[in-house]
Formats: sequence, C-alpha cells, structure tokens
Amino acid sequence: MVKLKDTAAVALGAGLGSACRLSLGAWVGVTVWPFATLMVNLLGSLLIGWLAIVSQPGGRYPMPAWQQQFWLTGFCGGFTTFSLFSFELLQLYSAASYGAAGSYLLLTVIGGCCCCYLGMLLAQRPE
Amino acid sequence: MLYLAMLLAAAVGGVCRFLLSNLLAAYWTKPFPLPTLVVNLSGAFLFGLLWAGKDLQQLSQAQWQILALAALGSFTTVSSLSLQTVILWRSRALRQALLYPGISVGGGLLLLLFGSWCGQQLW
Repeated sequence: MVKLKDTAAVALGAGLGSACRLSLGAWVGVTVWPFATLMVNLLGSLLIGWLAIVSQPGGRYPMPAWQQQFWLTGFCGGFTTFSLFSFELLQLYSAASYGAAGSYLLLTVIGGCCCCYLGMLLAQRPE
Repeated sequence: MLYLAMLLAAAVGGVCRFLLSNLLAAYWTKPFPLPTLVVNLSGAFLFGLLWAGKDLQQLSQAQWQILALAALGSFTTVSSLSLQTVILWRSRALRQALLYPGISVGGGLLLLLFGSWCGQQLW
C-alpha cells in the first residue's frame, strides 16, 4: 500500500531534483551535443549508487523509508531523465551525426552504470 | 510563473512514476525491473506525442517546457536504470543486465518515433 508520507516525499524530491536539472540545463544552455543531459544523468547515477548503499539499514546514514523515497525515487529520479535523453539521441541520429549519437548513447548507458558502481564503491569504503 | 509551473509539473511527474511503478511492482515480483521499463517506455511515447504537437505548432514553448521537459523529464529516470542494471550485473544475471538497458534504449527510440507518428495524426 502506498503511503501518503512517501508520496509527498517523492513529490518534494522530484520537484527539487528537477529544479536542479532545469537550472543546470539553463546554465549550460542548448548545445548540439547534449552535454547538460549527460551531466545530470551521470551525476544522478553516481548519487543513487552512493545513496542506495549508505541509506540501507546498517549503512553509514540509515534512513526511514520516506527519506529513501525522497532521495532515490524523488530527487535522483527527477534529476535524471530518460525521455529527454532518447529525444536528443534520436535528433543526433536524424541529423546523421552518427559519431555524436554513438558517443552520447555509450557515455549515458555505460557511463551511467560505471558512475553508479563508483558511487557504491565510495559508499562501501571503510572510514 | 513559468518556473513555478515547471516545478509543480515535475513534482506531478515524479509522483506518477512512483505510483505507476508501485502499482506494477504489486503484480510483478520477478527481479527484472519491468516497472521502471514501463515508466521509461511510456514516457518516451508521450514525449513523442508532445514533440509532434510542438512541431505542428499546436504547443507553445511554455507548454512544451512544462509538459515535456519538466513533467515527462521527471517522470522518466536514468538513475534507476543505472542502479537496477548494476544490481542485475552484481547478482550475476548478466543476460538481463544487458537486455534491460538494451530494451530501454531501443524500445525508447521506437516508442518516441511511434508517439511522434501518432501525434502527427492527432494534433
């Protein structure tokens, strides 16, 4: 059963995460190669990997469920974006920028997994 | 004012993702992260619908920013995709760890195009 407290935490987290994403996007500006979206997706992946480990029971910063929802589902989910990534990838491909499309795809997917794993490693490092 | 509307739309998008993936997770108990996949693929389809609307000038720049960049941007997620892929990989489900991001990206592109095609008929 979905709790109202968790839902409210997700709403706040997603609003805050998206605000950071949109601000970063406005700051970087529109570029042909979608640098801003890559940045949010890689940073968000790094953060979720770190948070997933430290927020566990017995982790460095154990959190109640609603705080986990705020950070992982809300903040990281709202900060990163899959729809915009797909859209930009398709635009690069349609413009026949195959090198740019390929590098964008690999950097986002493989880079995202590597960043997430790096976040986990950083979280597990002994103090 | 536009910024406030975008924040509100982003909060709604995130809550929709949370509710939809919880609803699906109640019926889907296997380790393969189907709920997030459904969220991301449906988000890509809707993004395509809006894209057609913007292309045909049925959507203003502000509407595009609120609905596509803020709401659908927040609805879909890459962080969970990365996390779930790493978890699959670490639990030695290597085939699923390759299939999951593959289906996400390939399916996302196809559904984006399909959404845009449907949008061309609808707007």
